Amino acid sequence: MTRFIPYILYLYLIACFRTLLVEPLSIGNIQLYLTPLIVMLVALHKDHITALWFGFAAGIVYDAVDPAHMGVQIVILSAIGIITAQAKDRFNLESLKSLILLLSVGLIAFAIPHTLIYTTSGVSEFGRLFLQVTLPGVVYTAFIGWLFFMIKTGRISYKKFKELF
Amino acid sequence: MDWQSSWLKEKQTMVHTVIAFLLAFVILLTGGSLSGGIANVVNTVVYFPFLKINNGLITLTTNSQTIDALNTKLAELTVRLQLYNETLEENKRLRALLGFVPPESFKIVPTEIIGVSGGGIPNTVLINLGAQDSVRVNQTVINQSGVAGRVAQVMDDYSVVYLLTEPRCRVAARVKTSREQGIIRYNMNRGMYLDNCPQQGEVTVGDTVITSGLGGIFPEGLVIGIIEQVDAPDKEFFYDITVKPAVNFNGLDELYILAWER
Repeated sequence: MTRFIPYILYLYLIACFRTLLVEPLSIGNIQLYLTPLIVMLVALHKDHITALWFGFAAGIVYDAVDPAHMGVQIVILSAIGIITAQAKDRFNLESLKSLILLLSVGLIAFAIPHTLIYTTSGVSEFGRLFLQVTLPGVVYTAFIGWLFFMIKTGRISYKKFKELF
Repeated sequence: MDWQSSWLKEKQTMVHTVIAFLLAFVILLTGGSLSGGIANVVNTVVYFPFLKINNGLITLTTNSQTIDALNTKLAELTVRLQLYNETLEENKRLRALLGFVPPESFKIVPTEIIGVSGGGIPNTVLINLGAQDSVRVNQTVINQSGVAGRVAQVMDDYSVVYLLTEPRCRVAARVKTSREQGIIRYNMNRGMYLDNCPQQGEVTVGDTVITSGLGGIFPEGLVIGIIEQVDAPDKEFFYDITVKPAVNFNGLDELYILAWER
């Protein structure tokens, strides 16, 4: 049972982000896509089935705020989870660039339907919104992912940061 | 059985994927009560603490905005209250003046102070009326409390008024009750005093001093002040009488010229 605790905490982090952190962590209109980032990070470090069901649970938590669209993000995040886990096995993801590329593709796969669903202007304005909101959001989130990997691999550390000064 | 088990193992991921997507599509397609029920459970279990915090933050923000708005309103109302108080005081002064009947053949002309000079206490003021407004030298200047001074110099559009605190401004006066006469003078050391009042006369503290009309400048009967102190020095012919002016020369606001009606 204890092996579920980290995933439960991730789900609470998603809920916290959706209610409290989404605005403070946004830069103007540019949102941080934290939920798919967490799903992909879990998928990159855990097995396929865990990635799939974590994506499913993350989708439920994500959609709970907006029951009218319940199911869309469950499908998308489950798909992102399983596809990322598959990609981990099939592609060489040792380099940071390939990891960031994979993250970016997953984020775009999440962000496009997200933009279509949660913007009132609909499909007609999609092109403009994609360039002004979605794409910068993907870049911003990918940058956070890059920071995560840099810290995880020890390329950014407090010691190195201190050496700079 | 072995091949089945191995097949299941190999295809475990596939089975999970199919189940997960089936469930997801069921939720997506059925919508309504199922999604609402799931959302309720998730909101109660997962979102509840964050929603509570979020509501608290919204309340705090709203309260803070309300406080800011109320502070602005308070500042505005404070200024408005001060203006109302000022108007109220002016109203009182004007009402007091309405009760004042100018001496016969005089009319009251309101004027504004445009400049003040003097040392510790003002002794000269400039007013905004001059020769073109029919102001003449030696006309009496009053406010609602009593005599303030006289017009000393007249220019085209402004005039200089010597207040009673100006040593050159002397007034023929008398004690209202005993009718004893004297001259009101002022100097920096003694303040205002009633000079040339013989000790034979009856003068008491608290008596009102008024203009006697004998100097030919100030009309008779205008209040100058109240007797504050009376000394009768030995071997002196006159009293030493200190007078408290009726007019507060430090707080002059409106002034009125007693103009002769011709």
